[in-house]
Amino acid sequence: MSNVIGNQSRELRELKTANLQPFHRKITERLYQTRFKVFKENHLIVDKSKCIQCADKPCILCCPANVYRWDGSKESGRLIVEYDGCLECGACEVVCPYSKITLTYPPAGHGVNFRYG
Amino acid sequence: MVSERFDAIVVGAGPAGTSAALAMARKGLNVLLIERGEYPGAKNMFGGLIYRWPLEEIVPKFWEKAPIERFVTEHRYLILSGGSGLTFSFKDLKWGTPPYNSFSVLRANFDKWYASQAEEAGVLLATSSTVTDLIWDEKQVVGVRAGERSGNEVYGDVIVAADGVNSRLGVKAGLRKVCTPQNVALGVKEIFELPSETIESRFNLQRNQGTALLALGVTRGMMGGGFIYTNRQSLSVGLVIPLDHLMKLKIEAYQLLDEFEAHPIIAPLIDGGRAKEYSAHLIPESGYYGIPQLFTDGFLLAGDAAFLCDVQYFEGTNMAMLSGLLAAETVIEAKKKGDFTTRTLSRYSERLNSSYAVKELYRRRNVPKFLGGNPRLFGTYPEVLNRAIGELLSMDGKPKETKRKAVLKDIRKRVGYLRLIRDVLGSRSMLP
Repeated sequence: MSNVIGNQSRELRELKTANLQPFHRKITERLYQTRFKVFKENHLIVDKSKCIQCADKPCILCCPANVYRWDGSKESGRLIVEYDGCLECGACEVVCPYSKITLTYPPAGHGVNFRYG
Repeated sequence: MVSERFDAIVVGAGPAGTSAALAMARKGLNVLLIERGEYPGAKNMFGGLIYRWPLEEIVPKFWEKAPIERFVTEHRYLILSGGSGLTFSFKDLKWGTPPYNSFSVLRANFDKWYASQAEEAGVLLATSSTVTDLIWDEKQVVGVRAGERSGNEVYGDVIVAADGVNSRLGVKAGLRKVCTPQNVALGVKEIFELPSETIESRFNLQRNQGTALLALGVTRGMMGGGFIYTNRQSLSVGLVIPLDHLMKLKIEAYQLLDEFEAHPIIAPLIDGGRAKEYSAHLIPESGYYGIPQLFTDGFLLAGDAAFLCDVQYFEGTNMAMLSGLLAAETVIEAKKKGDFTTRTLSRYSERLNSSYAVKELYRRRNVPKFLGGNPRLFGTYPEVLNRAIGELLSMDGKPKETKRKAVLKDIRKRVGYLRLIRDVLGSRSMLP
């Protein structure tokens, strides 16, 4: 797959590095408009025992809402899970190479409630 | 929710679940429809279109009462590269008049309306209720549990799980596994509010007409694409990429969405739109081979939970509704026979296998593999095509023959003729 990226045209490479204003917005700005009814408990059950040895930590990149982030150094840091912006898509559970993430659903109508959808 | 008994319990008030509940209630069954969102649609998101069939058979002339955004009269396909793009468009104005063809909708409105139709038919709808477990009697599913506390148990002859792509109940019933990066795509979407006149002039539409726009070449050479669906006073702008491809790119999906929205051909369409909502959802994309076992004693799977979704024509809600209807037919038959074991419930699979949904998925069974294993379709080809057409249309004094040779050289170098032929042959899997 890497050769595909290597083959990309100059225009595409320029686009990648281009200043993408005014459309480029932080994820927090995007999520700000989405309606959440945050529950007091985390509905994402994460067993963090494998996080340190997990090389790619795909949960961090694949989560469309930046729920996951790494705090601290590579060797001694830890995974922070900020579930309140979770869109309940399940991507984190799917990509975790150690199957250590379980998506459960917030109870009683809590969590994200799309107004458009 | 108190301990009570129903003929059928449907979990998930999306297109599949509501169709099943509605069809069963019309035949006099006592049906409970459970939805975990505050209202039906609260947890649901899709690109943007529903199709006329099979909904028109369930609710005749639904377009007169359903919260439709626009009647789609144009399908536009864009092959983008850098700052250029090739556009194909098909427009048919008869699609703007009854009985129409496809419809842009917003799920929070549409699903709510659809569930209200089921309620009118006698379905008991319970919202804000999260089903956490199945209740078993030996090998047979006999009910569901909502919440942690005991007492929140409800029993039914059959449980229809229409609980979406991540179907917790399908997994608990042992019929399917958790999704894998290879069999689902991630969709991210934003709603941009714009005045309806602005949308109509930008997309060259008459009042109430709509456009479905799909774009290739916006996923950095990985499988996937961008979309814009016109709503009455907003645009649904999104991007879909299989999770395994996203993992290889090592960037966030919303960054790809950013790039799509900022593409010089796309940006003017969205310009000035007020962002109203950002959402994400997984899409089952493994086609025919991804369909799990769909029944066990006292239990059926429908809709996304059953992985009934087509990657090529973006069919999902229609297949969901159809599976809901067939599940309902099966439950009605089971009730008549008084047998809710696999002996009767296996008829659901038979019905689905001979239905439009599974026949179509079978016909295009090799498409997911062809598209997923061929990043050239989404990166190299869009670039080569754009460059070739751009060159031929630039009158700069260079002979066209030289340009043609340069294009062929480009193809030979970046793709190779043999590969090109193989890809053309491979694309036969996409034939209707």
